[in-house]
Amino acid sequence: MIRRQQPLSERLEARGISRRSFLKFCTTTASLLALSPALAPRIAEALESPRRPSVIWLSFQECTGCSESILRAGAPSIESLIFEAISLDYHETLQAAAGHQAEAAREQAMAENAGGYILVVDGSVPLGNAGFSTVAGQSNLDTLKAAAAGAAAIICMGTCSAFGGIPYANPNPTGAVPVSEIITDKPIVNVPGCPPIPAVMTSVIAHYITFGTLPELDHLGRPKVFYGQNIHDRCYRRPFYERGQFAETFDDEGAKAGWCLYKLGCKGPTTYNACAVLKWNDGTSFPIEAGHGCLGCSEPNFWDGGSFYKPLSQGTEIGGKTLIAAGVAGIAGGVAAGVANRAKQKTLRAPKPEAKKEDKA
Amino acid sequence: MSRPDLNAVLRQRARGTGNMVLVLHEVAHALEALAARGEARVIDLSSLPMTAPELDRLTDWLGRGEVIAQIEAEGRSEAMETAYPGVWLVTHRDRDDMLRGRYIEITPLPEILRSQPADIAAAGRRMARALTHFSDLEEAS
Amino acid sequence: MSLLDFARGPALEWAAVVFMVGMLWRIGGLTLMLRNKVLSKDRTPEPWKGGLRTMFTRFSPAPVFRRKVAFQYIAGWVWHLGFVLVVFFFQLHIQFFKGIVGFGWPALPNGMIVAMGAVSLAVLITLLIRRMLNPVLRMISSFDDYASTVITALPFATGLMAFAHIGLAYETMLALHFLSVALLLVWFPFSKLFHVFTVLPSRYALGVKFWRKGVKV
Repeated sequence: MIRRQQPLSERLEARGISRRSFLKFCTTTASLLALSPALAPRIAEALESPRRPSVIWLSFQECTGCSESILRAGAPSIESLIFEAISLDYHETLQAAAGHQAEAAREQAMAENAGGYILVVDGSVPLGNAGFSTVAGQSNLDTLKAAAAGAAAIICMGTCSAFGGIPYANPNPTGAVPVSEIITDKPIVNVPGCPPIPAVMTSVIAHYITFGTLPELDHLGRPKVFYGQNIHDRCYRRPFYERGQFAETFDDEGAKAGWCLYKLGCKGPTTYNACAVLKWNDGTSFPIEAGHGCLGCSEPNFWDGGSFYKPLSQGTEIGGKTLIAAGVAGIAGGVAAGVANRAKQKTLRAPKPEAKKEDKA
Repeated sequence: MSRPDLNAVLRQRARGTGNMVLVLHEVAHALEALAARGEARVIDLSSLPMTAPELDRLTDWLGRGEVIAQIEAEGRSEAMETAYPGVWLVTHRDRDDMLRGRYIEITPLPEILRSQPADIAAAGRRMARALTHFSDLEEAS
Repeated sequence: MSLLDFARGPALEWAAVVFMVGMLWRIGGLTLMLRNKVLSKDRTPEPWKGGLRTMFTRFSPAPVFRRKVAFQYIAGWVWHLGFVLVVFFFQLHIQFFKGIVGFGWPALPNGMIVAMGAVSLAVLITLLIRRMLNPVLRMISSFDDYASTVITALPFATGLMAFAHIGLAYETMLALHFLSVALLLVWFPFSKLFHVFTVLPSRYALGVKFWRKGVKV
């Protein structure tokens, strides 16, 4: 599946998307990346260039939600078009080829672009029995290592490849690990989310294609421009939080009035993502706007961070039963110590035998 | 229980950042450069922190000129020349009407209004095809 | 596991267990110990009334000492009151207790809580500095005194910083707040903070003792 031959302009024309629309996309992408608008033509030039880097997309232990998010098979957007047009040389769900031909195409693309292709990974890699996830008879671990060797950069699409995601959650039966635990010698950018916002993905790729570098990353390898703010600081329901107006259940008056969902377990204050600003489905809505608290899906270990419905101010493991048991143990210990002390006190207070003898004498 | 009007509340509490006058000075300098040397410039309004009332005051101050153009390109966009010719307000929205970008363009004509060479070439090919069908219809009737 | 997950999870759980075991052990042990026998006749009947009286008269200083110790008493009252109101009547703390006991109760407005918390913290810091500078206090102060003040002040400081979103990132400040509370819980039963349970019984015992001798305190 070598698509590099077809120029982007032809693809746009085939889909009925004018170059004017394409320029609009490049302008707004520059805005998204917090770049000067003067760079928009440069982005356009880079995306249209026939010498675009090859992209190989590897899917491991994943649900395909990340692909669905970016590609939105139901309603292809200009983002999906751009994405496809960057010469996607291997994608198991999208490609027409199958079987050995598909693998051969991948290996050819890797060989032809050695050192220069972008590797996109979704899904975690199992380190337990390799049989948990194999493609074409090769374990995910081996495939990843081979593909990473010749890659210029790796983009971990989704929380599974970035942080382990749902397979990594307790008890992690497959021994799943994030990509960054296996590949340590290549630049990796994490684009977490379950799934991530499509515009974030395309912007990161657009940035790389235009400038040959990855955008500035935070301590978890996420692009700061999208993951630098937490949901709470950008949430439209924040004034309700400040005024102390909370929904207590999902169907009470507060919930209907759109009050803050903190008490219903919203993890907005500790989650960094662009959902509150960019939203989902082309800006339609995001979980909080739909009435459900943020799950924290772009953070590591969000599956194991305590219940989705427990507010952040509650302890996750402290419970009445444990405390009662501890209380019983304490009382038991106290009673035992008290009894022992009483016995000791009685001994100390008892008249001494030698003194008695002296009295007699 | 009615939804409280958050925007009203927020507007009431809005205090300016003071960036409005800075942006206007930038526009003034850019306009001078355009007039003198033909240098075009684009200012991304989302790159500067400004409250919503401030943004409204800014656009009101620039005023409306002779041209308002509506563009349908993967969503609605609008290019409006302000009361200062050469200074345009360009707004981009996507297909779901969500605001994607707001710019002040200091230029004789914003790029979004210009017909693009690639589109022109494609249009040429398309018209040629359509005309062959047209002649067929003419002959049939 | 992130710092916040650890702080909200195992750290808090184990600290609470240590707190429960420690407090109940000590209370049980103390209650069961023998009291000294009364060897003389009661001068005043019903000495238990004296005990009850003393439990409450000691909340304010004796008139003859008032001028000297007024500052200490007022400062103590202010920060103790602030502590109780902030811990038990702040929205989010009530949520915390609801997670343990299953029910909540009405809360005070956030503004009031923040003001009281800030004042309490300021008073605690003032008292700590006074303890370090005053020669008499310095002479009689032990590690327990200093440590208890600091360990009590930490949850106030971290809580206010987390609430105001100042200092480190919110998730870190929240984790530090949980950890400071865990530290307080662990320190509680084994330090002078245990006075929470001993102060009233000991005043009662003192009151009874003096009433027997005919002295109203």
